Amino acid sequence: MSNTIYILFGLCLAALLLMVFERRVYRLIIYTGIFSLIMAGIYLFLGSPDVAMAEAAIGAFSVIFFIVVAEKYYRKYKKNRQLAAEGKEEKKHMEKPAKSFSWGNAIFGLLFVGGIAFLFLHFSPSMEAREYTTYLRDQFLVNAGHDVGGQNVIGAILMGYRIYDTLFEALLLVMAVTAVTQLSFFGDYAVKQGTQSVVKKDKVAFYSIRIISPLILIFGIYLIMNGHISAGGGFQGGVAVAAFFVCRYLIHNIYDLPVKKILSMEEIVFFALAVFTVLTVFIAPAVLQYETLRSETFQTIQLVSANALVGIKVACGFFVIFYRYIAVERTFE
Amino acid sequence: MFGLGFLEVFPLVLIFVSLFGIITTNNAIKTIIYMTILNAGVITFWIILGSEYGTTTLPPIMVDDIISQTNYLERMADPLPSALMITAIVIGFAVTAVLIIILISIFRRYRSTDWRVIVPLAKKDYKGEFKPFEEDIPATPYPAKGKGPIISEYIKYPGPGLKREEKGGVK
Amino acid sequence: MLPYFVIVPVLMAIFLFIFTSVKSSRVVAIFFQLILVGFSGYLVYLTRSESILEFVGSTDNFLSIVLYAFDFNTILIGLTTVLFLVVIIYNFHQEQGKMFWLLLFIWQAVLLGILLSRDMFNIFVMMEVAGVVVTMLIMTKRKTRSIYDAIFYLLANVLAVQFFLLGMAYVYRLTGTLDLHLIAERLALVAQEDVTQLYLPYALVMTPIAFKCAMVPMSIWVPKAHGSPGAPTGVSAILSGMYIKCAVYLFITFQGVFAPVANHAFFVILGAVTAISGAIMAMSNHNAKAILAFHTVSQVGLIIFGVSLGMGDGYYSDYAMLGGLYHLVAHALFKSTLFLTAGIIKRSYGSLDAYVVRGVLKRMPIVGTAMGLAILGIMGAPFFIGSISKYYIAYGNDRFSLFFWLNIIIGLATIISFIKYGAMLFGKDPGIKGEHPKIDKPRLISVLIWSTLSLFGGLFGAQFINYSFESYVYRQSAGYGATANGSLLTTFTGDYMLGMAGYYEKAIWWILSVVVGYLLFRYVVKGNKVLKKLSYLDMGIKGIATCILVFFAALLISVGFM
Repeated sequence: MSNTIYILFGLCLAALLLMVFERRVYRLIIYTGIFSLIMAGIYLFLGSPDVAMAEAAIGAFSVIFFIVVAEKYYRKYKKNRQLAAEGKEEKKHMEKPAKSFSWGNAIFGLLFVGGIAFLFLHFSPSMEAREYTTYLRDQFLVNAGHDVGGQNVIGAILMGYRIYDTLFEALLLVMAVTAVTQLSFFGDYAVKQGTQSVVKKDKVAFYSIRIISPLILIFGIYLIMNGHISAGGGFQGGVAVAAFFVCRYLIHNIYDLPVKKILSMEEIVFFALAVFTVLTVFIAPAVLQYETLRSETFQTIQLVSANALVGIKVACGFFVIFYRYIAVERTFE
Repeated sequence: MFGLGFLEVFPLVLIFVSLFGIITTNNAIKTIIYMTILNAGVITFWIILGSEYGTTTLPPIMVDDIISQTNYLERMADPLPSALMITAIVIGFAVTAVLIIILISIFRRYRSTDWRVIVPLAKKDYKGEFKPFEEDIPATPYPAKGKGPIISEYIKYPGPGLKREEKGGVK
Repeated sequence: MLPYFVIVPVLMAIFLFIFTSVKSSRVVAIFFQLILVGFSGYLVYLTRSESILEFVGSTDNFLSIVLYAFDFNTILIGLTTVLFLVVIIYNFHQEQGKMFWLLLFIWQAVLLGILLSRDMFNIFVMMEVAGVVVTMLIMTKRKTRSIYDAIFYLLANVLAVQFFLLGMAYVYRLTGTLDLHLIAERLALVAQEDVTQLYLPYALVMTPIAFKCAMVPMSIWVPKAHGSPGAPTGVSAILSGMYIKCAVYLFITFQGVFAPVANHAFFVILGAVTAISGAIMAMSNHNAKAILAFHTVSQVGLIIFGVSLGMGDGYYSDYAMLGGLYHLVAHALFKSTLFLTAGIIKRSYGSLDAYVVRGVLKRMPIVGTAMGLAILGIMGAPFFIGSISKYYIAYGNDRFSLFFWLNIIIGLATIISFIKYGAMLFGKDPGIKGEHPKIDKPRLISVLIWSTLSLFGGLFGAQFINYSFESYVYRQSAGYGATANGSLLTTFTGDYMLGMAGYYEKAIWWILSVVVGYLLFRYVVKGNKVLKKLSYLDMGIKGIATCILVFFAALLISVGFM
């Protein structure tokens, strides 16, 4: 265990402390992003680069959404405070309770959680390894190359052994995207194509994003295509590709991608993923011979297609969520 | 104390701090942020477990770089927790996204982020005594197709022949 | 074959959403659902004699995910598919669009996934997806309070499920596998060395499952989610009917997996407390849907009471276990009938207030009869399923007097709330009309189908028990080990026909309870101010988080220090 990880642990605890004592919501959201990044570093040094990539990418996206929701509420609140300061009437509904922190609340919380922590640690089982603790791990490491193919054992588990779980996780993303588009408040599906947005631009950010975003796209496609050989995979690559479209929005300021079509594309790709799973995992073993099933070509085709389908689906989904949050929710007010 | 090392206690610290936060915070956005930290804590617990408490930290990827090392099979991290945790991270994100979108609807209706304001208002709503704040936006259902505000009306489209400085450089 | 039960509804859902128009989607949905009902019937037939084990993944060993069907969960699967068919017919003329079908079919896929799966992480993923789907369904109509209900439910659900994930980490460390059967075997080995290692994982895993089963400190989400005004009636029916039953199924499974440490006495007491508190809260409400939702809490408490009695060591009783399992099925049938008829009443009268609506039997005789029969069934009248199951729970225990009186009290509370509810049937019609005074044909048909099913289940109850549950019941036995076909359960046969003398005695107790209940209702409950205050109890997110932690601490203490 290198020293880097201890530095990361220390940074993480420092970030946690900052987050607990911070009362301003905007800053708290930025700290969440920093916290995500530090956790990604910790996962990397603990031997899971795939998890680290997923956490970093998804943490970044979450921060965007938190900022949108905070802005949604607090912008109005700031406007009203401004109005009140200028002497105009403050709208009645913006009542803020007198105090947001009370000692009684905090002490009750501390005692309660302290009690739970004591119980927890008192009954904590000893985590030493038993004879069969590493059995599954050894089996996976030894057999994954032969059974599913490729060199990335984690990818083999996700796309081969436990593809049933991966299917439902992709389904959950489809559900989340559907929720975001349907539960959102507006009657309109999307802004008119070509509309400008009110993003203020900074020259440094503008030019640096212009240089970096094609690299992000290439990196995303690399992660998707090489997910079975090195660290990476469908999810991480998909989020990177979605990040490219986010950058594109930031550069050009316009909404020119047809959101409805991308939404349908996402669902069709998910459908294709489900059908593909059924074909390769259920029907193929019954139809094809064992040698073909375990041959390198078949396995590579299966892994690459699964990763590609998942990547496209995730990219479309994240793009739609981002678009809906930023474009529609943000520009309406 | 309690016979636990640093690596075992670290994720538990994250979990307990987030539980403390969920119990005591009055702000709705902070509740969701603490849920994110709780998720991160549980995932860290799994990953530390997968690395056998810091002893096996080689990534489980069979590239030449790693295979050429000695004893690589014994030093590889457990692939199963990593795969499961990628799923858990994606699930956590999806749930956070849905929570945030519902929170926006709640803000719109009850005009507050504070649970101490939202909960009594929701109670009044249930009894039918809650009057939606009058604004240009209807406080209840999502307007039917064609009747809602068209967003593009709010944004001025400058047109294609815009000069360079008007396109949005530094203001 | 088994994974198709879960993947095919997902494919159907997306197909319905993308490739059909709004009008044709209804017919196609019914067609798809009929296919699913047919296959689940076939599965029920197949598992009468043997259980089916399948591996889903690239290999056919325990590295992949395990799906398992035996005779108990296939009954639940059959019930789920038929209930969904009824709800789809019910919603034939609905105006929510294709999104509704998408969510409904995905929900069905997830419920079937939970019932069939034997892999712990798979159950976790399904629980999360179910949480999100139910949230979206609760918010469908976007009426008044449903947004708050949705976020309350989702926050509490996600918090509880994180506990499950953490508990799973400890279990994985202790046993090195995620398959429930192997976990059970290896936990028994660990328990032989040192049982105290299992206390924390047990509390961590059982807390979210007890949350989903609406155990007492955490039961406040049920009336919010099930009785939410924004949820379409069919959704409430499935929520109270099948969703909670899947949670009870998980409860039974995990109590079996953690058999060396499982604390059955704790759940016996908690089940009784839940039953009584749910019934008291049901008495306090006016809104018909809210009465039904609170009552669900009570009945699930009763089911857990019966099932824990049956699984426990000292309170050994097969009758209680069977009564609990049968009440699971009975309650699913009756409660969903009541929800569906409540929906019809809402459309016809425009209001769901139990003090305002009157004369349902006159205005809509068929619906009224169905409702009346369901009420009689749920009150435990003789000849109905409810009475058989309650009889079994009441009489099937060693300590006769304490539990007997508990059952009488619970039955009394149920009767009181349903006297209030049943008053809707009689009396003078107030003449108010809702938006759609004419009854929808599909709704009528669906209610008819479902209540006939309940009636048959009631009349032929004992035979149904013998057909469904006779061979498999969980039992804690010394020398834990797998039986020949790899099942966690041991066989168990017996004759469960009721003795007629016991039946008459039960009928007399029931009539007495109805009389006492009516008197209590008239002079104590009606217009009681204290009860009215109780009905609007709301604790917010901080409250429910505290309650979940309190339950966790209580469970850990009861397992660890006693």
